[in-house]
Amino acid sequence: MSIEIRHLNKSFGGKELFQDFSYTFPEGEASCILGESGCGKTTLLRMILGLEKPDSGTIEGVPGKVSVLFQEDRLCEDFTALTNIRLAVPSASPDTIRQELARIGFREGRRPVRTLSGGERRRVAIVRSALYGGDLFVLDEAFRGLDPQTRDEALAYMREKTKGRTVLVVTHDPEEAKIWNGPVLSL
Amino acid sequence: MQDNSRKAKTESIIKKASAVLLALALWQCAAMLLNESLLLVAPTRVCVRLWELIREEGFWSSVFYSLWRILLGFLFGACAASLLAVLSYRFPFTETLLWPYVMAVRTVPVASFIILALVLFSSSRLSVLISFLMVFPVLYSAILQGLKSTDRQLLEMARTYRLPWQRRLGYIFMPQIKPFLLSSCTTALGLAWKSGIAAEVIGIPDGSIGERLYQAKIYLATADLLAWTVVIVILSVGFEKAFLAAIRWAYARWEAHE
Repeated sequence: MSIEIRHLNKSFGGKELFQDFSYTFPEGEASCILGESGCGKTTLLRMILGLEKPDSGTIEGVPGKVSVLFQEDRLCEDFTALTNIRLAVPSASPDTIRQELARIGFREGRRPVRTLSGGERRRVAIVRSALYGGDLFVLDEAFRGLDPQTRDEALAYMREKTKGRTVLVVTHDPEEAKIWNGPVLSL
Repeated sequence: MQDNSRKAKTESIIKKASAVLLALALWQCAAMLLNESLLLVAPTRVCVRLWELIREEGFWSSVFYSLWRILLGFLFGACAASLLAVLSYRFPFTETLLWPYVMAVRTVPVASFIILALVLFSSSRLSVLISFLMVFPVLYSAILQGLKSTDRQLLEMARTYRLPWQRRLGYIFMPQIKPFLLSSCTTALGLAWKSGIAAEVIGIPDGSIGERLYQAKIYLATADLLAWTVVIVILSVGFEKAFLAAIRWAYARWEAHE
């Protein structure tokens, strides 16, 4: 099911971000939302996720199970990478999680995530989102802060995991938008 | 880094122990100069009297009588505070409804509560009630503050990943309230002992530490008074350390599980 936005209006901090905005994100494709900082990309995602309400207008077709990779890692600091992933995906076995983490170059070492580097934490968040699955994937600046090689590995990993699913990718990098090879919404 | 932290901790313990020894030496000197055991008993005399008390019949029964009641009051207070803090976080009007009670318990002098409670309850249950009343607002406010300061971003993550409440509680809220719980338990345990013993001194229930303190005052037995005070301090500090260690251990076990 495609995600349909109709006549959306939203102001934030006195700034009008969306005025009678309508758009349809097609089902089963990776749509990229491009734009400069502060143009409302993340606000649009938050409204799609139901974390923020539009001033007026409707958003339809958002499925029940949505996998979100936020801009921030949003991990439970005192727990290990394994626990953080199993928190969202209890059905995943420790071995599966370790294998998935290893695929994007992270060896899980039973350390609390607060002791991990920024890149390692990001990879934990990526695997959590990939294993959670769902009918819609929302990736908000998902690969920010990763070195070029890890970024390419993580991007390829995420593309494989989201194949055939509806994906909304927020990025400010036109090169990343090209790789996703789907419709582009420029804000 | 861990070695440095251990070294700093050892140094701190040595410094504190030195300060205690210095205070005891000053106390001993003052008692020897004054040479009046009714007004100021030497610490050596207090130690001797404490040793005698420990071997007396009824010492341990008094200790367990007060210990049991004060800890019961603390545990009731901790349970009620946790439950009502969660309710207040979930339903903010509960916080408003509870506000007058919490403020009353915080501001009304403990002696007023003790005397009022004596009218309504038997003196044997007094220390349970008074400990409960002193512990409740401290823990309630701390737990509620901890819950309110929970990371909004983690709560959004929990919402989008549809985490059930048990997992939100264990992985998001419990770690969040940990520092609040540890610091408030230190304060609450100290208050439970102070207020519980004060209640026993006023209510004089048979066989309690409070009764022993009251008798020491009546018979001007200063050595007994100070020896029992030492017992109270040891019980209070010992239980505080044990309780905090138990909480830290439980948290460490929980955080290490996979």
